[in-house]
Amino acid sequence: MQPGLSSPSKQYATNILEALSIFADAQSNLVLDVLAGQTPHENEKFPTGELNFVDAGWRGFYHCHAAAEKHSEEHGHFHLFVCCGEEQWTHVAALSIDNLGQPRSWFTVNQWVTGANWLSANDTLSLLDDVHISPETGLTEQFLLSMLGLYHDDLSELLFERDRRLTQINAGANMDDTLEDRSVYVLSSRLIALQERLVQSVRT
Amino acid sequence: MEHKYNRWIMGTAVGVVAIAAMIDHTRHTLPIAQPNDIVIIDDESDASPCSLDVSPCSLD
Repeated sequence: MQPGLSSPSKQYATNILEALSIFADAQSNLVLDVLAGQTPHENEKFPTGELNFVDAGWRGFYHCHAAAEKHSEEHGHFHLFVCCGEEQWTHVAALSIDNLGQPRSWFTVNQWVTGANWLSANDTLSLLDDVHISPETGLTEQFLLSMLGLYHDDLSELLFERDRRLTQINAGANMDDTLEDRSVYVLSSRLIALQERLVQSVRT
Repeated sequence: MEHKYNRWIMGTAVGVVAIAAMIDHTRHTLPIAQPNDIVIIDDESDASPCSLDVSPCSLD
């Protein structure tokens, strides 16, 4: 049985290394994999028809924002959503990718950005414990799910930070208004040093 | 197809150099995202001309 996403990180690191080895041999990476030779257009979602997580407990896609709307070191980002009820989805985090196809940061966003169901950090994290990586899962999807597992503790901190930041911004006002506030976009973020994390994880 | 890197990761020890090399071989310049030619004008919007009436990162 595949481990849930809150299991020890070594298995996730191994999954990522296996995916990296295949990408390396193919002179590819997870973004080139989802682009499949296509030239991306701003806000266009990849892959066509979304990522396929097989067990249907996850949905996600990759896209690029207009240059004026994004960090100069970012090419685009993966948005990852977990199922929180029948045909209901909540956004967990986005994985920012640099111009060379490498993960550069995790970040969370305000509710209006994704329009998904809004769950507290605690409720969101409880959903991560039930997710498994199917052996039939595609390479990029396996990489992304394993990243969620490898960075589980970081994501936990990010989501709690997201909630704290929202509470600060809200300051007693109507939370629905704050969740729709177009001036509030990214709520928390954390840079990634994947190589160091992988080395650390396989040694444990 | 044999993956040369698999030999490095299947053992009990995975070296820092091996991981660095593997990651390095996945660094490829990504194609620049092209601007969208479609411009949506929404006179009903009371927000700025650059506002987004729908969630920009929604699943739909």
